[in-house]
Amino acid sequence: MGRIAPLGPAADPVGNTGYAYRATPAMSVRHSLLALLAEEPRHGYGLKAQFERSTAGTWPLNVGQVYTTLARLERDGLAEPTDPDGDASGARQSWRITDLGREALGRWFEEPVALDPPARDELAIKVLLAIAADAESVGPILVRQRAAALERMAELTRHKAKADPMRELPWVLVLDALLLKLEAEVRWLDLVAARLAARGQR
Amino acid sequence: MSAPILRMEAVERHYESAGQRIRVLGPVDLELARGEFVAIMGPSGAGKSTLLGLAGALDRPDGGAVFLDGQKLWGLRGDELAALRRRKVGYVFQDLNLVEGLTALENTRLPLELDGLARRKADPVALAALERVGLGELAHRFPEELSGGERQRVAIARAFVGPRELLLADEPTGALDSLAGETVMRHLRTACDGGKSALLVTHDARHAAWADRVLHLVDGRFAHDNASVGGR
Amino acid sequence: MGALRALLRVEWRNHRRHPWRTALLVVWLALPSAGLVAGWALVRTVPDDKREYIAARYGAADLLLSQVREPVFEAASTNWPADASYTRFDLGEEVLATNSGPRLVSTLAFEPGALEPKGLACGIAVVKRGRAPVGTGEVALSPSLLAAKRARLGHEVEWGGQRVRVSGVAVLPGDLRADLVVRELVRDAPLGERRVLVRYHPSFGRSWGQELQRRGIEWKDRRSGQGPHRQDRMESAVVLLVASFGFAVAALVVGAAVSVGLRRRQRDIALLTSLGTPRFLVARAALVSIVAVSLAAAVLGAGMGALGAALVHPVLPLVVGRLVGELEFRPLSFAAAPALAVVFSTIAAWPAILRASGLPPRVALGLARPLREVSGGVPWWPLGVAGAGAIAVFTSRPLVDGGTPGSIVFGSILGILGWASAAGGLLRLLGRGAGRWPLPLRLVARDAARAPLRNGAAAAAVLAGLSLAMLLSSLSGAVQRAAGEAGAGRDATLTLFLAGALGMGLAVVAAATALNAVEAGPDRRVLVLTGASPHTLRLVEGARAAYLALVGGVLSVPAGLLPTLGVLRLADVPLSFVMPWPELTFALLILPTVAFGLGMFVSFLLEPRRTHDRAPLLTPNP
Repeated sequence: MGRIAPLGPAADPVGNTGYAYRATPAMSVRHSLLALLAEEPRHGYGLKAQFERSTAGTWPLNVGQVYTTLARLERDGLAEPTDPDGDASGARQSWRITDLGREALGRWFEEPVALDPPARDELAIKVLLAIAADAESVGPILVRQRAAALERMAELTRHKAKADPMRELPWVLVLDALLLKLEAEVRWLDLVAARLAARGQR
Repeated sequence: MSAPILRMEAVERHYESAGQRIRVLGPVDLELARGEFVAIMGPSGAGKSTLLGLAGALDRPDGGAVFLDGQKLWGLRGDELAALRRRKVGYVFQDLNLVEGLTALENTRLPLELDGLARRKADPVALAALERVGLGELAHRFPEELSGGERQRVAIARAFVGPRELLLADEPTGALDSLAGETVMRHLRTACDGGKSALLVTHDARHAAWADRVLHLVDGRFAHDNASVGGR
Repeated sequence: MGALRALLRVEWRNHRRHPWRTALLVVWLALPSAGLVAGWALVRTVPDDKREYIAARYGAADLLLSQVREPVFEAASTNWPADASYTRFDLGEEVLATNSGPRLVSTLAFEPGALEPKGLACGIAVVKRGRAPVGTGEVALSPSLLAAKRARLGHEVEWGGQRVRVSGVAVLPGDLRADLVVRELVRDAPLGERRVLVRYHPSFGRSWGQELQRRGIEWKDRRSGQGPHRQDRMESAVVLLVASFGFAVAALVVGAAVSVGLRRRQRDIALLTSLGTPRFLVARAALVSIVAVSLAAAVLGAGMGALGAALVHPVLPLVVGRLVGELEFRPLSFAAAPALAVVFSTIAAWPAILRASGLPPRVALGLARPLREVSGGVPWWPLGVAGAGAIAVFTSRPLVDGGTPGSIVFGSILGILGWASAAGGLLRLLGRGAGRWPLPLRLVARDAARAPLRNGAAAAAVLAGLSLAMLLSSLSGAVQRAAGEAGAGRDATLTLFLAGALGMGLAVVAAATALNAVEAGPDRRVLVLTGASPHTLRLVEGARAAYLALVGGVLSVPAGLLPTLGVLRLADVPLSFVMPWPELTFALLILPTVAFGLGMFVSFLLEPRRTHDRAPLLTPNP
């Protein structure tokens, strides 16, 4: 899965424009591992591989991160080793979810994902500040941003064109999510332009 | 590289309204290479549909020239225009693209049949076109027995049947849900990868993203933010 | 009430916005109304009723003495009272040389004054111009003989070996075309048969008649005279039937026009209903509108009919070849015309109104066509009805007194009804089997199959008219052949009937075709965009018109000829079947061809003309 590289939060190719797929890693990795354990007991390396497959390689984990998360889950009583006598950090050891863990997982699935308010979005802040300073100067920003977003969308769409929605569903779903966010951004940019134009006419 | 399938040079279009001459388009230049897929975006009233109408000889420019497959669209008689539409260019609109009284296969075959090709020869060609959009199984259904997305795919198959190679599409996914719209765009993309050409007017960035190039039309002119995605 | 008034205002604006469509309705409903009023008034003046029949034999007299020999009559009449009134007249035939060869003509000879309005012979012959001949030097001739002799009133002509002056133009009231010579009676030189007309005198008793009979004089009393058994009710029924047929045809046109109008307005109607207007109110407004139009049309038509009848009446004798009675309008006809117009147009418009007001807003607001009407297989029950009709016709036995049994009439009507109702199902079957037909025909067959009821009705209208024309023509041909007049030529009535059937068929087909074409509007646009040449589009519209005409024409062959076979089988005299070739040719060839041509022509007229070079050739989106 060589296409992982340009997408992870650590390797955002467009820089700080704010349209990369952001998550809150600490929360999500914990619950994701719990979700994988809910399917069947697994050992550490298996968890890492399955996690990367499910997120279509958008989110590489290192094994150390897996083990520290597992340790925290055990501490909170959400997961436990299948062989309590074995070495908890050993590669042979496999883990399973506890009842308490299933409850916590259920709560996580039920809870809607809280979205960042736009005010905290870097692009929004940039545009708002530019308008406050000088409405004229925002034009080029909008144009550049729109071009960049469209270019990015085209790139993602090319990935999607190559993907097989039957066999690579997670990957396609991730691409859909990214594309829809970008589309929302393009539409927002168009709306900003339209509103500025409408204000200019008055 | 061979000559472009579509070339527009300094094309302009005005409308008379209450005694005033209002420019709705142009002057614009546009070149569409064979196998290229270009999307045109822009706010309502920017002249997108006007541009498409001029490209497909549905309308005449009041300035500049349009060349379709190297042929200048000027002063053509009704039957010459009809022949042009049969052989060169297909249209797909948001809705009502198919003749209700004809099956999917007959709709696809229509340009060939109108051109006088025997049914025996036209049928395999049309069937192949339908199979390319994944509808070989539904060839004998009537339009009202097809879903909206399937109808649009039949229209795409018809636009590219046999030797026809230019598709002009005006919001072809406008009446479809996201998934059906994506399937339509996927087939359009595949056709263009196979050497056909398409000019797509849309206000939907996700659909425009399937194109090789996206042009932004504002107030009748192309904005210079042409997001040219190179490499093709 | 306010809501209905608002809706009626919408209807009224709609009529004003489409004056031509409304005018079409008015014309179609006014025509049968006019026909009803005029026909009813005129038809009563034409045939000889009992009064005319008797007048042609008895004149104004009460008694008619025939085969009279002069000496016997003189002897018999010597005892008659002095104030008894009588007059002699002679009835003979002679051969007259004319410019176009010798002709056998009837000669009537009257005593002076007998033909005057108060004369006893008044009504046996009529002197139209000039005066009755006086003396041996004058004659009155019928118009036909005047023409044959190339003579005019006042000229001298050769007659009976001497030159005589033409004193007048005389005709027989019952047959204006008869060759007739009228001259003054010469008492001692009877011409053919001598008759005497006698006015009854109170002194004539039973012995008077016995005395005459004893002397060998035949006599008849006017009151015993046998007139033709003609009933007023019969002719009224025929007029009403023909008018109803006209109204039924008008109803088809009305139904089609209302459908077109409502279909174009289906978005408006859907908006109205989605705003909370009850559907029944929309339907009621449409209904009130069509009733108002029908009433206006019928009143207009009745007025036109009365005027037309008054205009036609003076020249009617030239057409029917006999003197006609006084023009007399029937009050009932003025009531029947609006009533029939309203009933027929309401029935015709009702399905369209129900459909339009009942359309789900989702369908109505979209541009999609309404769904297909229910599909079905072979139209078994209509064919069954047609079959039952045929069986009724073929199993009827002649009545003992030689009359036509009712089962033939009943069976023929059943047959026509059956074939007519089979038309819709047949259209559906044809639509399904059209896969291998050429494009224009395939398209129109499938389009027609989408609304089989409506188009079936149009085909049925063609069928009904043509099959009746075939039946009449075939029967008349058979009778002519049996009478040895095979070469006698066609009866003008048949030609008139055929023309009527064709005109009506064309009109109904035009209405149904227009509706189909409107519904196929989006298809036409696709065809243009896909590269159909203007010629192809014209072919499609031509085929659209020809198709319905052809289906109706083909079905009219069994519907028209089967009853004929049944009737011939039962005739008293042996009649052989005569193929009605002119009708067949028109049904199968000429009507479809004309419809095709008209369809192409209308399509040509509707093509966008590039009067303004800058105008878009096509609007990409509807």
